[in-house]
Amino acid sequence: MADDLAERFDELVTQVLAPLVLGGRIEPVRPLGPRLGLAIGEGRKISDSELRSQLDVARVRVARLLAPVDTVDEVTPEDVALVAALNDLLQASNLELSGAFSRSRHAKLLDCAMVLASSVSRPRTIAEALARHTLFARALEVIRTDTTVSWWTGSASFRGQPAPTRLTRWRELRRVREDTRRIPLVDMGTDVPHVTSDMWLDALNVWLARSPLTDLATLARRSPAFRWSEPSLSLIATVPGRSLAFRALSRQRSADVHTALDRAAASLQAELRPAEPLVKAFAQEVGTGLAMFSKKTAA
Amino acid sequence: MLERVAVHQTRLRTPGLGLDAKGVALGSKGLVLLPSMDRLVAFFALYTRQGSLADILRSLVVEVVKSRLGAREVTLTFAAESSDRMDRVSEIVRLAGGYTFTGTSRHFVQYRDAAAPFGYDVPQILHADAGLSLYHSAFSQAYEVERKIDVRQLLLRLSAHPDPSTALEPGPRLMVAEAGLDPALIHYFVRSGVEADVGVAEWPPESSFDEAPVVRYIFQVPEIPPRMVPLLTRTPGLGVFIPVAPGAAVLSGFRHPVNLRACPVFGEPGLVLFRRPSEDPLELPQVPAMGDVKAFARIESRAQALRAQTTQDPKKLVAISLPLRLVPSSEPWRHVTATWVRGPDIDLLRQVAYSLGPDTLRRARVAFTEEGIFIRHQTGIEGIPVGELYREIHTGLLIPAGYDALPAVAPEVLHRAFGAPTGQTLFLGRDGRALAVPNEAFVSLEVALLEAQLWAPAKGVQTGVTAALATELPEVFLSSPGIRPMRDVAAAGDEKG
Repeated sequence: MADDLAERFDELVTQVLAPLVLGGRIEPVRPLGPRLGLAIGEGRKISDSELRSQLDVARVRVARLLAPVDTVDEVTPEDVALVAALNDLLQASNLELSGAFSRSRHAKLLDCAMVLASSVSRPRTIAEALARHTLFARALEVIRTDTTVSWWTGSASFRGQPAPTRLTRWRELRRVREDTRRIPLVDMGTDVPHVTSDMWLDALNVWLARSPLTDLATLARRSPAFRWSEPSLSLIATVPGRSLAFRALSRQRSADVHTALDRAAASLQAELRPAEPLVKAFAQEVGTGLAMFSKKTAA
Repeated sequence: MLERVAVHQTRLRTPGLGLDAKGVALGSKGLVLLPSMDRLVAFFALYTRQGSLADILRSLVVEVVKSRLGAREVTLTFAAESSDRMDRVSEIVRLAGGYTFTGTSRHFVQYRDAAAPFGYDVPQILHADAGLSLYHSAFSQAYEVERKIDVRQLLLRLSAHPDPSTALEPGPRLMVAEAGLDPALIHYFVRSGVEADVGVAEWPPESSFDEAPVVRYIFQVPEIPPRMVPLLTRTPGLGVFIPVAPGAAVLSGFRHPVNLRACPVFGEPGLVLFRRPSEDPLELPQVPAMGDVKAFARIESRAQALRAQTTQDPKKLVAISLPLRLVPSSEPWRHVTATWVRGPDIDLLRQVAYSLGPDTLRRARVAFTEEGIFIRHQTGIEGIPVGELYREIHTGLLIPAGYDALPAVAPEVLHRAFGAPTGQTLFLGRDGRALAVPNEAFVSLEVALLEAQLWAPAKGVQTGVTAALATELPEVFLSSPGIRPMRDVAAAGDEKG
């Protein structure tokens, strides 16, 4: 059993975590679920030293955009659980997950991914928040390429898979046309049976909230709209955390930042109402800071 | 042991051996002994590379001979004629790993080499009843002739070697099409304006289970346009052959091991087509009757032909020129490769453009004119279903899809009627109006579509560092998660509990 878990851990690291940080081909593994997702990283480290070294270099590169550090913390079991949750999210969008009589699997797996993500504890220190951000900073850059092949008598679509070569032979004779579309992570939930776009974006928001610095660093995103969460409020409640958050925000367009912060403040959830003064103070501080920053850069 | 022939020696012991004008020992025949069949092929390949086999072919006899020990070897016998010919043959035989002899009937002695410039003579004749006795400085051996080898059959049995460079050589081509492909190929040639002749050839049934003979179509094409080469060479059932000698052709992409041009055994009027190594060559005793492919072009006949009668009265001369009209047609739509977008359809085009795939955007060409927007796509405009669709009836001449031109003149004639303008594409409107759009006005839709975007100059100049640190995008590839993919996933409700 332990060997099996170690094998699944290696698979998850090489097929999902490594390409997420380094770029390249992400091949989601078999869905893990909340129980296995939380347990899989316990007491395990990345065994491939070369891969670990490459990951460290890439993570430090991301971290240095926000803080002058030379090392980042190692990958924790909580980080691995978040990778497992992302894996399950991606598998929930895989149409090959279900058959004609098991279409509800997609919604079920999406629920499980949300449960897993919300079970992961928020970062306990600023260093931990920064380390987690270095793993998931590129999450919203993840894309999927969908291919539609049409020929003189029909057509076929392929989701996240290249079209088989037998369909693209004799291009001129069969008048084959091949259209490819790049689908960003936020749109991967469309056309999934029993899953609506809102369900997909909610799940994505829950997952993003677990890495508060990533959540703030992508605050100007189109969707899912940024909303304040317990981890992100905890981050800006401390002075160093607020500095990191401001540095992350200063890399985005100031108009977008203001809009997103105003919208998030207006839609603050009831249980987070006590933190409203903190949110307003932060928005004001960011406004002042960005104005000064733009003056300085213009000069 | 052999004796060297000396200068001014007049008598030789070997029967049938004499001295030529240079004093070289020479019989009426030359004989080449080769250890195996592949050496024989090597000899032919080497010989035909340097010269023609035609001069010795008439007297050439190839035989398999067997020694008393049972070893089989190959001999070539030919008219010696002169020591010049023998010298040339001898050099090539040495390269091919064989020996050269000379003699007249049964006894052949080693031909001259560097050790004996005037040749050799035998001190004593072998007393054997063998059909062939060979005397060499290293051995003397008697052989019996086992069987003859026909050179033509030998060359037919040799498989062609792959040589992709031959496919790129320009020049005339022969094509063989299996039955069934011929109408499509003929019309493809006619439509594309490719000059070609076609004939039908028949072969006997391949087995007794087949009743009808095997029918294939032979095409003679003076020059295949490069754009057609991939289609014609890769389509199953079609074969493109390169004529390598009169009466012989080899499949494009292959080369016969022997230079057939220097080996005239496949003479006209027959034809031999060497196919892939796994397939037997196709032999035709006579090239079939060939005709121009244009004879198969689609024709339209009239019920009655008008008989022209000349009139003596010039006033009765009738002008028969008619205005061009476009009438709806029930023919299926073909070659719909352009659209004319105007008026409110332009807004629709803007909306449709967002959903166009990158391939369509890249291949479509667009021209903006005061009369509207013209879009062309060589493989079909169906991907942009906006505006009035046009089909191309001739290069540079398009008419609305679903319409035919009246009078039903050939597209070439219609194009000529408009002055056959070069560098212009003519669009005939349903009202008979013709619009000429300059070809250079067509630009890629991809380039034309995007509005000019606001941009600001970037201050950073560290492009080298950026390039070094750039990483590729993380891209998801989905595949089947296997049997029972949810076996590790407990119900979400259970987990919450």
